[in-house]
Amino acid sequence: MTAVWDPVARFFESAWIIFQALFRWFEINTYLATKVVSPVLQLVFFGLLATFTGGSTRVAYLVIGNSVVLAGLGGIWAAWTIGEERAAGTLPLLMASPASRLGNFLQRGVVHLADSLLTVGVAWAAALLLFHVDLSRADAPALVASVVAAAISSIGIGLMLGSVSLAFADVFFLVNLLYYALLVVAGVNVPVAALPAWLQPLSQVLPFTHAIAAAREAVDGATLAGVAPLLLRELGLAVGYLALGYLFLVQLERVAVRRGSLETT
Amino acid sequence: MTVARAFGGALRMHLALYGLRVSRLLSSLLTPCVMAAVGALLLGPAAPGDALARVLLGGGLVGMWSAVLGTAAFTLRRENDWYGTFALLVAAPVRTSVVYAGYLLGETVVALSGVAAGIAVAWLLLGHLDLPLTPALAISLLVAAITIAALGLVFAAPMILLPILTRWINALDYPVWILAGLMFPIALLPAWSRPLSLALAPYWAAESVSTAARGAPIGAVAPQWLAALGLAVAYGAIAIAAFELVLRRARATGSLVRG
Repeated sequence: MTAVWDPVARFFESAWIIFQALFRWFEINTYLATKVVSPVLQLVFFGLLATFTGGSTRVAYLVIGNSVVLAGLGGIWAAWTIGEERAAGTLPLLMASPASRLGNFLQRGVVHLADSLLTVGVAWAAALLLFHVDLSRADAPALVASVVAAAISSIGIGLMLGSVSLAFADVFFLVNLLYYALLVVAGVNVPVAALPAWLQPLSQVLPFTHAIAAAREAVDGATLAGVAPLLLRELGLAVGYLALGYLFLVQLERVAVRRGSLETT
Repeated sequence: MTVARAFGGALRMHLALYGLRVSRLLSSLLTPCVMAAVGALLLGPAAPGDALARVLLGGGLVGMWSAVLGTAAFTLRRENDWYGTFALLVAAPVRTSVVYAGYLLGETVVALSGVAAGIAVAWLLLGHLDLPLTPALAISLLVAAITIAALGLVFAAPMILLPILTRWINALDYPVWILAGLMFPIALLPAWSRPLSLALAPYWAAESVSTAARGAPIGAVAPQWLAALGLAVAYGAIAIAAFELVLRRARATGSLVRG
């Protein structure tokens, strides 16, 4: 039993340490600003923009989209854990250790996944209280599954961007670019069908597009079975991003060992 | 003379350090481009010109406030934590608020490019765009830049005393975006928030941008410029007093930055 339990316990213990290391500056008011105040204000801002641009009928659309996309914050933080590893000078030590690369890669998303669900929960509470989004017909399992799929997808692309940023660019810029792209292209604020034709293919390969569509259908009463095809597509993308990110990290390690340096940028 | 040299030097230094750095420029363009894109796509090509102008130009102002607030926080980290020059800066024979004002106005100059980028994105998405590019609109945008820099200056001094505020900058973006009605009219807000909006210089600047974008003559926009600039001067006075208070406290305690 211990043989099975120990690796599992160590996995989650390390995941927690990685989370804490990123939040080394952690203070409760900073956390509240980032994870509670800012998301609620984002909802208020886009809710008012929706009212101005389309009247009250459009408010629910933007509020639902923005509530779900807030799970993307988890991916941003997950990406940052990789960049921070290099900034703190601990990446070479990590590469020299006999730890499982895949395990370590996945650990980076675990706590952020749970944490992003908390942020989305706060946003949904605000959506109900401030904008009275009608959830009377909503199918709870389908809605929860949509949000979880979005969060997993976010962690997937976040970890991929974190890996890529080690070789090419500033992680802040990459994740900000992604988050902002989602606001425009992933059906968060604007229906995918309303985008110019040349932008629509991008929506299909970005995270969140399918999860947000599923969440909207769930709010309208679609069951878990009804939204399953959308969620499977979203999870498929998440697995694809994770695989690409992991392969990139492994490749980067090989190059680093060959060159004797991790500094590729 | 010393004041003008310090202000101009800080402005030049900020532009030299960041104005032409591609990664920084791209970051500055991100917010206005996204906001303009969302606004343009929500309204669609058939939208009334004044609504479209408000969201497109407002998107630029939204990006400008983010950039200025970010610079107010970043300056403290840069000078204090990374370069270690903050104590030297404070000891220079010129008010620290003057140097900060130069940095923040330099940032608004960079951020003005976001307004143009937002318009370009909207044109790309909608296929056409009718915006009257008049002198009144250009002056309104300059007034907006000055008021946003002035408001950023008010936020900069407390950040020295409470560096934790630098971690609140994302949450501090939205209140100004919302209360100043940068992308929508404040008529959408509850009545109790109206006095707060009226006390914000960027509100008057955003109104002047909207008025000018409707093709109004300078005479119709001038009262809004006066209100905006009057409040910006008041912000400048508040910021100078706040910086003096913070630095006096630092001299008394022997510690410049807390936390």
